Amino acid sequence: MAPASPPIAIADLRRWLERTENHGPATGLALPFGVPDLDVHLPNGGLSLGHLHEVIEGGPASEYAGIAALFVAGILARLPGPVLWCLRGRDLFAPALARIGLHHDRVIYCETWNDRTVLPAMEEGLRCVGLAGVVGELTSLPLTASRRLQLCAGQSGVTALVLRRWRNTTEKKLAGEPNAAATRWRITPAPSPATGFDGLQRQQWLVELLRLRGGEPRSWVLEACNAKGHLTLPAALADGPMATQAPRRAVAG
Amino acid sequence: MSYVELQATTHFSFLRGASSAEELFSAAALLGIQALGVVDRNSLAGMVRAHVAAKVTGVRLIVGCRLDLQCGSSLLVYPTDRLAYGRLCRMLTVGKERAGKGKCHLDWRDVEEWNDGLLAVLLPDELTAPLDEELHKLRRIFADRAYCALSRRFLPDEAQRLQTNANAAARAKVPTVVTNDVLYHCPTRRMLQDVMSCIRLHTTIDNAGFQKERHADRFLKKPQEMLRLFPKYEAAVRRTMELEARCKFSLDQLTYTYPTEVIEDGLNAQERLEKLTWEGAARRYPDELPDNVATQLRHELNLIERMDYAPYFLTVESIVRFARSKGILCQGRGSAANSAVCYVLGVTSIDPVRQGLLFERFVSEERREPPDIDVDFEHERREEVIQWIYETYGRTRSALTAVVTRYRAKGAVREVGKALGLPEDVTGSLAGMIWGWSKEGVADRDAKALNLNLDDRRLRLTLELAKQLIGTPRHLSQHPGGFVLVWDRLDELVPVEPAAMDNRQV
Amino acid sequence: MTALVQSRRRVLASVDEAAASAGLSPGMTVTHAQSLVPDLTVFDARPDHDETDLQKLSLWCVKYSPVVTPNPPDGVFIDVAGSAHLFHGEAALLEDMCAFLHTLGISARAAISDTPGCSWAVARYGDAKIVSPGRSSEAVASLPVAALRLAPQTIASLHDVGIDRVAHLCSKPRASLKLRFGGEVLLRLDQALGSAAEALPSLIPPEVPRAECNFAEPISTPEDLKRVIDKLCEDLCADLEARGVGARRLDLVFVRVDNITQAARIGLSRPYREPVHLGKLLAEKLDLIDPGLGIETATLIASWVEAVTERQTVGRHIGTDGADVDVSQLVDTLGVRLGQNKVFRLAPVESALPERAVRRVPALHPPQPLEWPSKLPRPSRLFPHPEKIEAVAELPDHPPRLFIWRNIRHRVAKADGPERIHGEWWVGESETNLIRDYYRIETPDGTRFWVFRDGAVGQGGHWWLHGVGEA
Repeated sequence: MAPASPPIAIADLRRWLERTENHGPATGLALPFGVPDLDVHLPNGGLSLGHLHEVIEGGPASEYAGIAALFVAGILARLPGPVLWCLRGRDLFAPALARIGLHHDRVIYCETWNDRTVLPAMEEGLRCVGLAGVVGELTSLPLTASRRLQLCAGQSGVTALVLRRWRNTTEKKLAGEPNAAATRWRITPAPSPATGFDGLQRQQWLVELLRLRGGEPRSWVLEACNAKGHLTLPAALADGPMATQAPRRAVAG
Repeated sequence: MSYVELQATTHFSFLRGASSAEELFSAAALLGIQALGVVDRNSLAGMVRAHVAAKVTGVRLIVGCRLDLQCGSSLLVYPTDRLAYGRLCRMLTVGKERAGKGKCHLDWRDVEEWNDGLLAVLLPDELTAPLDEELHKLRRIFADRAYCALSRRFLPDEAQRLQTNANAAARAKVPTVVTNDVLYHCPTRRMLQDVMSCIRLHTTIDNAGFQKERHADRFLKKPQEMLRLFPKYEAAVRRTMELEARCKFSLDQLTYTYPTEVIEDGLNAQERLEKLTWEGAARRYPDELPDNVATQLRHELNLIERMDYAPYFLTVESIVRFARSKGILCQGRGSAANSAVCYVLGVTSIDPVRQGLLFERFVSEERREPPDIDVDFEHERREEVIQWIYETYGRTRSALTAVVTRYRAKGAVREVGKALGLPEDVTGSLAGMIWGWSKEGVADRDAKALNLNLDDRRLRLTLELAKQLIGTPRHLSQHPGGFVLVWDRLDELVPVEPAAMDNRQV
Repeated sequence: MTALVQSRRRVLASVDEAAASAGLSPGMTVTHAQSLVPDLTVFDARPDHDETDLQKLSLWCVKYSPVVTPNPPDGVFIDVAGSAHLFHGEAALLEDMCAFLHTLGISARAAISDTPGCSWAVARYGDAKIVSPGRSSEAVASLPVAALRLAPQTIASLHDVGIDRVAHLCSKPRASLKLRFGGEVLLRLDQALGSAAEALPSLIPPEVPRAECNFAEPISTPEDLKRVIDKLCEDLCADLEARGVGARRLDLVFVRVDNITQAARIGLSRPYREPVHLGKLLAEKLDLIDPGLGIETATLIASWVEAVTERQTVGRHIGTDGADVDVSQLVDTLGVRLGQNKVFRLAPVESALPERAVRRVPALHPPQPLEWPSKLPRPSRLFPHPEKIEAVAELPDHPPRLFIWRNIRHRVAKADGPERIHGEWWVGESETNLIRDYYRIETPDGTRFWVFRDGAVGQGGHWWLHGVGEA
């Protein structure tokens, strides 16, 4: 088992941001998820900052990218700085993002109705050093475009997160195209365990790392983001042995 | 029967409860609820009206009070007997004395001090301290008289919340009891309740936001419905009956005991009164005392003795004597003028015998109420008399009666209009049309006359809601001069609170 | 209503709308006019004052565009190509303008089209307010020939030969028209139709900061234009700095070799005098500029300036953990590119109805202390219009057991609710009895849906899906 990186102090992050401004692209900084079994699997013990990451959703409501949006918001909740979110429509409901720790004053939205406008807007945001991240909701992410995003992110240190959205099966197929994202994730709802209680606990997600540069696909069943944006092990298994499912061969991107 | 409502708030919880006791009890009767616990906030001001409404409708009144403690916890308390009721009054008096006019500051310490004989129901949903802690305190203080409330709020995770509360109560060995947290008697009263919140918070309905109450159906419901709403807590629903049975107190048990005069010469009240009467008679009729007068006096004194009213006459006589000794003008009036005893004592100045006035108009055996002796005092010097009464009788046994100021038509239209965001000139016009008291509010045709557009929804709503608000209490204020004097401690009869002017209490 | 002395008679020089509708017209004698309208108010005409007043009026119109030219005696040309977008479109701009003039006590008629000639014609003689691009010829065809800005004698001669409408004119052979009526007729016709260019000298108030460049060799390539912009920005910003102000609005005006003007306008969220950023924003607008055969003159005008304070707190974004990032440039760039109302933040509204709980605020709006209630789970995607679903549930207030959404049946494995939300009765009558019972439901595969029932099922209540993705 590779040693996990120590968690990043905000002060360190800020210092790194300053260094980047002066010295150019930096590598090696990552944001741990706080789930040891997940973090150990990622290079540098967490989600690489200053890179492009892609998230799609599975399940019957996948076209809305509802929990994919929460997955992304949970990451941004735990990074310092403003966020640019390039919207694809008017259905994002900010109170939900606030509930998992992404405060409404941190997010600047731009209403972009198609891929053509989202990509340049994302690039613009990625050039703004000091942002926590830029989110873009895209139907199509061709290789060249993804390379540009990756480049911009690398130069500024701002993390780029793409949420894939579609309206029909044709568009959905585009989600399979190859691109230069450092990681590709798929978030699918998972049934929550039966409890003695009536009512609902926190939702469970099947979090699949479909593609990872220099690593193997893996999947985990985790509890959805809590009020601080952290994913956690399902309560029942928190004290038990590792929470991953028997390694599922997820479809490689 | 399966359920009684333990938590009903009347409009004596000023600008929080939206219905009167009459409305609540009538609704309860219609819904088949056998008993209502009236729990106004830190106050027993509405209890008399509730008592009367209970008698009229046949629904039993469980006397209670909601104590909002300084630390943030709230509990409902119900006295089980007369003594416990007295303790509740004293506790409220202490709290009001501490906090000043219109407020009441109480703590767990006070609750502990005065808890004997009281049943307590903890409200678990608005606590600032952990529930387990508060339940523990409750249990320690009240032992088997402690309960914990379960109420529905129609919010997410309700089942879980109820379960958590029930589990905590079980751990603390405190039985649970279901309440509906009633704020008004029927669903349509919700709008007025919102407007009341706006008035209380000095804001308008458009700006009040989340400061308004969250309306989780807080109107009276049938017992069957309560069972249906709490499918897992049937025992707690039925336990409301047990609590009701334990409360054997009724306001009927309150007797008004009059202070006996402290007298050095060894005579009791009646004897003293007779002495003073004959002395006074000698003064009034320096020559021969007429037979008919003497007969009359004896007749009155007999009746007074039978009814045990002597102390009352003595008190009035001593107050008048004090006033006269200071040269303060005073005059008895009203039906007291029918009394020869009053005349010879110098309280009144009309000779009733000569006038042929009937004593029975003044005191009668059928009416079991003490007689009303009205005495007017010279206005500028009233204060001296008032202070003398306080000194002589002591602050624990005397207080001015409080008067409830209620919304009249003008004020109601103004306040409701303001809460609905109407401009001042409009509400002023509407309100200005009402001359004095009018139960009907502003007639529609009058509004038209003022060129106010009745199609405007807010205008119509203002009129409708103002009508509902008329007659609702706004606050307590001081009665111009009515004093309450008691033999025992006054604050075991009613809660006493400081009045606005110094050295006064109501 | 003004009167002018003309050969010893007092004659009406101009009439206002009310007078015109009473049958009065310029040229009529005052006596005649007074016989028609006994209580006529007549002012003496002052032609020289009229000219200055028109200039002043034109200057006021600079708020709509920097390219403004007075058109005596009673008109103003305004080139709005580069600025209509800032007023939310041409129709809105016209409305705004007429309302603005109305407040000055001026009744106006206005029209927008591709060419000054066509606009002149349509404004005075036509009905339309906006002529779509490329439709100038149709717009003027039906208008009388007087709409072509011809001399009265020319118009009279045309009438003599039966040419009343512009369409008639178009149908005649050009050579013969030129012979009989002179070159002016053709020129005006071509100008109205857009086949001949018309240059309008623009009027810029002197105190406005500007930078200008003239070119011996006309330039037209994007790279050259960009370089010009950069240079202009540098010069202008130096001027702004000297004056201690920053620009809130910039107008870039190019004049081509054929004297046609091309302009672009940008707005800024706070006063700026940083040349690189301004240059970048202006470059975004280059694709609106058609250099034609080349640009001869370029002018950059700061048509709205404001004092710059040393510490600009607006724009220093309120990041968490004190991260202090200036996002105003990002906001400006995106605003210029997408439209300023497409860049925003979201803020809480204290309403129980979810669709009312969020509002848009400007991206650099100062933060307010309001928050959404933290204890209420909400979906990350809220449908702007709830979708109707079929559901089976135990009455009266149990969560559904199963539901059908888009023809697919879903069983409900677990649920929580109802969360009861009442309508806001003070907003409208229909809301007084509105009650929604929301349920969070989970299907066997773990998906969560946020559904509600909007009334008792027996009384016409329906089930709706309002959102997915629970937080």
